[in-house]
Amino acid sequence: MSTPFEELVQKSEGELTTRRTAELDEALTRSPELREEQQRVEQLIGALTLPSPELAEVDLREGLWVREVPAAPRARRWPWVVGLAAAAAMVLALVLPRGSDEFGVKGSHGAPAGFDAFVMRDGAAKPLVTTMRRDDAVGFAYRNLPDSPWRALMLYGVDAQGRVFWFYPQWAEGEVPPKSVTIVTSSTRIELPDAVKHELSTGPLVLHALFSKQPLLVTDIEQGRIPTDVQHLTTTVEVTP
Amino acid sequence: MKSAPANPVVELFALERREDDALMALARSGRREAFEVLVARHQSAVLRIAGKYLGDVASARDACQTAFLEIYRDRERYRPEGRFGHYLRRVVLNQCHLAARRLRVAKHVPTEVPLSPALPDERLLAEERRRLVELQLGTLSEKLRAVVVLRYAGEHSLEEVAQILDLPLGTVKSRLFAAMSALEAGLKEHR
Repeated sequence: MSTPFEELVQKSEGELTTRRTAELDEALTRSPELREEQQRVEQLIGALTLPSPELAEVDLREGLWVREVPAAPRARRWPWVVGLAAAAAMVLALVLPRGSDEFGVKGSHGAPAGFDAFVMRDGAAKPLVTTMRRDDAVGFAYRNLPDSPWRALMLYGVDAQGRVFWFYPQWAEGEVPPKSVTIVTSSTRIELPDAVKHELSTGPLVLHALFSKQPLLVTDIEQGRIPTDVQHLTTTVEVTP
Repeated sequence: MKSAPANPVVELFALERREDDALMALARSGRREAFEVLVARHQSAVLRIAGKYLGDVASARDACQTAFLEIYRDRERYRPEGRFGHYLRRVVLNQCHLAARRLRVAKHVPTEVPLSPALPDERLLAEERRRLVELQLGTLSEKLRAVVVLRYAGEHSLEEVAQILDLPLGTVKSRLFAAMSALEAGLKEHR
């Protein structure tokens, strides 16, 4: 046995027979209580249909590609940490955009490829220039000009203890070691979709970008087997508490 | 020799005229701007659904963005059968279920609903009812909530709700009527 409210909901959905609908219509002209019930149905449906006015201001495209995906920390000891300083000295020095609010591509601007790092603060991407907090999620963008030979990219950080933190590809404990991510050539900067959070220690963190023709295996890089025909960019940032 | 950059204005108009499946095909080939056209096309509808389901704009935004990103990441698996809208709504609802579970743990539901005093009486009342109903929606089971939100916030017919949720039409109807009765019972306590 349905209550009047339930029957009126069914009526609003066209689920009652013609005869029962006519009976209810007739009863509505006579019964103030039923009209009150009818008003409740209409108000409830109205409230269910009415969207929050704040939704009209939302544009999902804003920040879509810069979503935070926490990755399990992959901290592996760099096997040739002692030689790291010398190796870093040999790679292309980066010119970081200082004092600019723009999210520009870092790296040598004459080179066919470069990368930019940023941190997520208050839902927005801020250029990562010299310092970051240890709980910041880090996002990246790369530039790979149309005449560039590079088709794959790795982005990772190495801290002062020689621990390696993988950003692209992401590599969580227990997973099969992945290869570089595939990249495209473009005259514009390409943003990578995830900002990745690691449990970093305070102190210097060297961010590495490794552009290559073929995808490389993360374990090869951790063991120091870096091919010669790559573009290897680094920049050092300070991780603060 | 560098290739000339594409004219973004011409490209944008061309993309906006394409069907959802054609845009997904472009997204599969790495064309993010094609996917952004899909986002722009469907965001209003799914935000209304998620907003009602979660009763919170920030959570709705987060759930919808996550849903779009999930679809983008799984774009290789998308089957172009002319049902992107239904597929999107399923993914959004799934994200809403997950978000609602997190919210249930993290959020204390207020018993008093703050209102803006600047609204005229009629709108103020409608706004108050909307917020009360959204609080009540939070007390429904996921099954009932999904049906009622798709039907009214999503403005889908009962048949469409059945297709989206892959349920028999009779089940959708009985869930809808059960949800409405439960909402009314909850609202009675506030009167």
